[in-house]
Amino acid sequence: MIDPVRAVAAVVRRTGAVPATARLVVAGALVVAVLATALPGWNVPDVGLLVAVVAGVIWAGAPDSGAGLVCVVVLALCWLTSAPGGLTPGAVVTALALLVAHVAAALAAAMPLTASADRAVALRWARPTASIAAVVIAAAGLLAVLDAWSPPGSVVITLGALALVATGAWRWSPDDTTS
Amino acid sequence: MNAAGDIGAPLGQWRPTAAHVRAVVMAVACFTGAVVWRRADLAILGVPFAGLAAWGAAHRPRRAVVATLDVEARTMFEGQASPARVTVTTAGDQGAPVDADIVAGALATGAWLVPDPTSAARAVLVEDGRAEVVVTLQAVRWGRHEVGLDTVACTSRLGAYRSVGVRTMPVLITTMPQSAEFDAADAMPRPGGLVGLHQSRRLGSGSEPAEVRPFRPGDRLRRINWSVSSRTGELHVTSTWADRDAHVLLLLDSEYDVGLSDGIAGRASSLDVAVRAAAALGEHYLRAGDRVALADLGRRVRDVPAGSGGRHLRRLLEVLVSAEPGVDHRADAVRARPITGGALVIALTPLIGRSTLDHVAHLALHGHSVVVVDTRPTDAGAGSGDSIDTAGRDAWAAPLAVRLRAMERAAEIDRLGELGVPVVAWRGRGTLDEVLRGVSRMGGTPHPGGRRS
Repeated sequence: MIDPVRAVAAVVRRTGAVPATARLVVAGALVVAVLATALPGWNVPDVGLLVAVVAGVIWAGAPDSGAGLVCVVVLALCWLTSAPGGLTPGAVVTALALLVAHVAAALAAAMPLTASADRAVALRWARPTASIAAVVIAAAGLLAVLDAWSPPGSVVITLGALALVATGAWRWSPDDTTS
Repeated sequence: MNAAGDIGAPLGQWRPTAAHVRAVVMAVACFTGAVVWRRADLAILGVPFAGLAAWGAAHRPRRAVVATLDVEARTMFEGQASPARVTVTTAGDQGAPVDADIVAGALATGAWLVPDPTSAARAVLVEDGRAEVVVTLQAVRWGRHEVGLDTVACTSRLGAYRSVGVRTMPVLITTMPQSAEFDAADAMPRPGGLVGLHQSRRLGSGSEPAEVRPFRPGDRLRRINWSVSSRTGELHVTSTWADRDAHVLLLLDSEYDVGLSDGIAGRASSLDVAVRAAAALGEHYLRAGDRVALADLGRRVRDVPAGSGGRHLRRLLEVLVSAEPGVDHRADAVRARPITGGALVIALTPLIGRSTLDHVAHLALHGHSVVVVDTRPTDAGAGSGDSIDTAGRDAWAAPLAVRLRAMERAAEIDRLGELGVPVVAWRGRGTLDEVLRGVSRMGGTPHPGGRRS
């Protein structure tokens, strides 16, 4: 019978630097996201944070699992139910942390835990991630300006616009992949 | 099993990953919530996921991919290494760029192929539409070893889509035994052929001077020793010892494998020693122009009839790689084998089974020059206790059983000595020098068997 401790030790010994680092980045980014959600003055439900932390631990260990979706959805619900609603620095930090966690998890899921990889592989998605982070910051700035300006709006028109965008994205998306 | 061609395995369809599903769900949920509840913070939380979903969808792969495994050297010697390449190309059009961004490949190897990296898994970037995962494999023990694709995963931009392939038919790598260091002085007991490098005890055509004697009809003119002839006034010739070749039978005992094997750099089991020694002996005697045959007492290796030359050495090595321990295929131990009279029989055995001893004694009694090379590893325990199964028995009995077996073994070796069969441990270079000289001396004496074939 295989000794489980030895089996785990063997896996740890053979763990690749890049997949391990990616998992650590996932864990670190989730810590930042949870702290940015919990530290402001509003009252975040402990159960939500607990579920997010547990799901985050599982996500860091198994980056291709559904735990990642649970974790980010629970964090979004914490914001929805507890935060006052305005644009805050905490929301921007949380968004950036979730972005980093998502990309690091996607990278970790792209290779086995024991895979050897060059640094170039680890940095492959750094540029698109930085671009999206810039978009997040720009969107936050735009939202802050709109918040200060406070133009009149309509929920119906906004939902219609979103539906139009979704339809366009679906219409012009690539065809089904060939096998 | 694939022994010749490359392995081309189509990978599965491109499917959205958990990451892409997460990005799409979060983007839709956050933006919907932001609009419905007029929440700017939810909109900000949704922006990165919307960007990730859009970026991933924009680089959605369309073409299916194929992974091909190729090992540069399908035949190696122990200790040699060869790169194994997993090449990912587009299905149907190998020139088309691969739609992936990162390719990860993991190989499935046996214990005797040591990969570098040790996990046999590597992730690489797709450069110029091509991806090649290279894992170096070092063969550390003789035999036939398999290597196959364990997993190949191609991932598109930002991890949105993935195409995965799993196990395929393995590639067979033949690892030949590394010849142990061996050399022997020219002390072949009874060389009998007409070519070769061994000095015969008969006069004839050769290079080693034997004597200067008066010229006789039939002597070649180029043998005339002019200085002696002019001094004596009578024609004299320089005669030489004939150069002869010999028939060497390597008798491999693969019935038992005693001791542990760690490959080329570690401990060697009895079968390791036997196979490497057989390779070394075969190489040595074939280089000396002798005819070498191989027979296996364990019947796991097919017999190789006597032959000579470099191609025969290759044939011997290719047969040796299939040696495996096992008693189930054992043939009649004293089955008469067609051995040329006067052949030198070198038995490579750990001297465990009685039938092996019977076979060796049988050959000696039939007039063959037999030498036993004891292949039992020195770290296998005193007295061949390895062959004693102590499981389920009283613990106090084990040392006693080991001692009894050691005494039995010593008696068996003495019995072989009485038959004129020397037993030597394998030490590499010079292992057989002394015993072959002894066997050569015995070649002209009456034999206990009373008959020389």
